[in-house]
Amino acid sequence: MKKNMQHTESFLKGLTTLTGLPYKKVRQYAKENNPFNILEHPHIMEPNEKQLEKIGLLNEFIASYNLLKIYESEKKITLNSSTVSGQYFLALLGGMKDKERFMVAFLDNGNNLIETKTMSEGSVGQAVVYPREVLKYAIACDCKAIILAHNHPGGCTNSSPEDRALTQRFVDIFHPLEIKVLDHIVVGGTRYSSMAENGEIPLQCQSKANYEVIALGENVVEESQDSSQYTLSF
Amino acid sequence: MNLEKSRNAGYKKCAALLSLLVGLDSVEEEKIYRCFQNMGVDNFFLYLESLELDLSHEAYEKLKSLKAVIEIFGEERGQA
Repeated sequence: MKKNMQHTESFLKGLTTLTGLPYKKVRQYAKENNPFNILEHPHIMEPNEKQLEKIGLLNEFIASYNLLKIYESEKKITLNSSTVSGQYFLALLGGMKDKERFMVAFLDNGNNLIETKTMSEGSVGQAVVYPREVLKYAIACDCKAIILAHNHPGGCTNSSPEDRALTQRFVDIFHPLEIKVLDHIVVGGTRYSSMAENGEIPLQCQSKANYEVIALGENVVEESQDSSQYTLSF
Repeated sequence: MNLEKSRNAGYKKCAALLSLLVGLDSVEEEKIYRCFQNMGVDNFFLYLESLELDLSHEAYEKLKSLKAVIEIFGEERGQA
């Protein structure tokens, strides 16, 4: 109990030093609530712009730090749930505001990561995806599944109609080859959403494989839910 | 992206974020990036007190705060 109180105290002091949030205010909040909520839902502290930016940076740092710890342990990275995949791509794409990047994780039959590749990158509204290139890498590494991910520079984490159409195109290409499209992670700011978690991953082909280039686009859709609460295992 | 490349890209990103969070100049950011490469991020924070980083007192205090936050947040989330 005492250790917990000391921990909370150190956490709160660290948080206020790094973000500029008033100590009294965070202390008051932590009396009745979980102090980690402050990082996950910063608006509860009514931060000013600078404080909000610092909280965003801190979240991004923690995500990157956690990913690096996995790399350093040299363990296999297994993307076996939408939460793990979301955290993984959040570390790679989080906070990217000036450009769009489309990435693909190629997995073996145990969902262990073989390789992650940036398949497209461009300024906002300029990035395009070449499905043929993704297919080339998938065949080369003999993967059994793939996870798609890209960022929305505007910060919205909801999948747009274009994102869903792009996912369907990939299912149309990979499903006949018995390569599963497990998820499509959309990262916006310091948050993410999983299309698998939201039941938006198509289970079967809709039309013939189409290898034409796909333009990445972010359509702003009203955000309605926080996906990070629910875990869906593949 | 192989593991080595991913790790290096991660170190670069972490050093850049740290620089913005703590308020470092480009020389200090580069120094920390090199530290990450040489000893890893985990060891960097583990041995933070004994590293000779030649940073301002304020930056150093912020690094110690960051260490506390990631340790406690990691423990809570079962990642430490």
